[in-house]
Amino acid sequence: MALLEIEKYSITYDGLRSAVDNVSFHVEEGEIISIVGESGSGKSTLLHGILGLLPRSAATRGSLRVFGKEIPSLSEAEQRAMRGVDMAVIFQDTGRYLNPIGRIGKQFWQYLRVHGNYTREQAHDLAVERLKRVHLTDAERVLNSYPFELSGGMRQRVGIAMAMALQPKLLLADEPTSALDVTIQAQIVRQMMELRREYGTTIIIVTHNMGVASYMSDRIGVMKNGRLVEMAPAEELIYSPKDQYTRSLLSAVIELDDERMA
Amino acid sequence: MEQMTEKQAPILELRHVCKTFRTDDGREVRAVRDASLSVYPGECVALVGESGCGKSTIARMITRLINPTSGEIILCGRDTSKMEGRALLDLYRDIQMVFQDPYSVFSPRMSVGTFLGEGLVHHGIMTRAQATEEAKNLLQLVELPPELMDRMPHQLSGGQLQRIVVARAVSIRPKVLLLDEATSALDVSVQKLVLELLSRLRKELNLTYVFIGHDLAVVRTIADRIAVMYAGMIMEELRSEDLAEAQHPYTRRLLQSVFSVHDRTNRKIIQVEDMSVAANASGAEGCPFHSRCPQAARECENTCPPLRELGPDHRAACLALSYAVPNDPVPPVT
Repeated sequence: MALLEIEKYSITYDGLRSAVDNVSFHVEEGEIISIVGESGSGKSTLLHGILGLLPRSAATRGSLRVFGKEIPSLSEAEQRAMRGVDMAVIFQDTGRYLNPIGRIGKQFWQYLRVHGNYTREQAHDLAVERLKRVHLTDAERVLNSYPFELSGGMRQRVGIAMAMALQPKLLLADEPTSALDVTIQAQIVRQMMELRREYGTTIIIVTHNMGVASYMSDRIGVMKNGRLVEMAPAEELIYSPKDQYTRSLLSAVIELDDERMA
Repeated sequence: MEQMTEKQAPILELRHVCKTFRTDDGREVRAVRDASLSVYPGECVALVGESGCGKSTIARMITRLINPTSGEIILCGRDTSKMEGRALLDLYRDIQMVFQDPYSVFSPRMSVGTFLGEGLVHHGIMTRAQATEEAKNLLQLVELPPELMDRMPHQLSGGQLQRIVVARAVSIRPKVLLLDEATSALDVSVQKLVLELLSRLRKELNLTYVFIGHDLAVVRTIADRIAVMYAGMIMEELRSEDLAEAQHPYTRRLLQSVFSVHDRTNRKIIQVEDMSVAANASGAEGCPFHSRCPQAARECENTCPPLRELGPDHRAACLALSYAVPNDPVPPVT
């Protein structure tokens, strides 16, 4: 059984146009999948659908199963029980999802208490361990900090550490490096690849950065106007893309060894 | 072409420019530290660096949106930092700017045609009626159909809006165009088209560009020369075509951090950086990069590296390089 099975899945907001249009694909355990596309292609909406975080106004069709469970048919409580434990998410700017006036340590504890009976000490020890895993060796200082005291790259690592606290099998990442500087982006990309190596985490990353997608993924899916126009092993998609849009998207990416315009 | 332009006087020159901001609690932040840079007529010079490196602060000083703390900025032979009133208005006939987010430049209730003519009317070059007529030519210049004249900003895409912003910036025929992350908010396919447009306009209208960006690949395709900034300092200055031979450890780190779509077969190894211990004191006298630098020596902590000539059109500020033979390449950062 695939870890994630999406069959003819559509999301509409107004009942007319589909933000996600008849998308089908499977994700096997331990895979890293990238969904790429330009703004408005529906890639983030799809991710929210997998998470069960669509607004009430959204209507879905088709089937979306995570670990064999049909997400749209689950109750709110059942979905909440899955999030954090079975699947977790990191967003573009973790800082925006942290409480600005709470220390990281306290928020880590609050996050864990949603999912189990953690004492302050247990939460602290787990947090230290997870922060060290994401190469924040001075974990005590990080836990004692407020979000604004950390750099964007550090906050993103805190977000990954928190998402990975309960070792979910599936990690969803929505433009996780898009707000970061290139040197920090490289660090976060490495970090996510380490997760798979160490925990066997399955990762679905939504990004507009073709370079990041190419570096990280086993397979890449290309979305346009809500449709998945092509999905293929990364090598194949990059070196012999079949779809016309994939080709034009790839040719628009400016690379370091491109011919100069000047 | 570079050889010829070298002989001319620079059209824009930064001489030892510093900018220090003071925070509410009295700390000093040195946003720009002793930056010197010459831009020659017809050139495109890029300022590239990560967030907080001071590139936009330089942009804002060049366009006199803020004043430098010390140093001089010479545009077309005049020191802009002392300009006031009428002279300042005239300054903007010589230099125009394009920012990252086109939506923020538009008044939401002003039509495209009116928007395009604003500069011409404001500088007294044309009457409103003439300017409206000229707006059609401007649309054509940036490859947009004349039907857009009566549209409102919300009816247009980001790419179309940015073209219109560029059209207005060049409408008064400035000498220098300052582009601050002008293509960064655009989707890749649109970005490429806007960059091609900018390249064409530079030649056709004989413009000089200062192009500010964070994407090395983008910057390299459009600029003739690149200045790499870090923590307020210009770390390295070199020709775009020599970017691969950059010597400064920070530039090397930047280059190593770029993910190329086509290097899957030869994937680079990313070295881990522990971000919880590195703290950069912005007031420190030493090299701002030393705490992250693989080649840092003890002296880097308290000696500020001067920008030193390494070769033709190639300067770098790094103590480690001072002892190296100029042709001896620095080992790549892995």
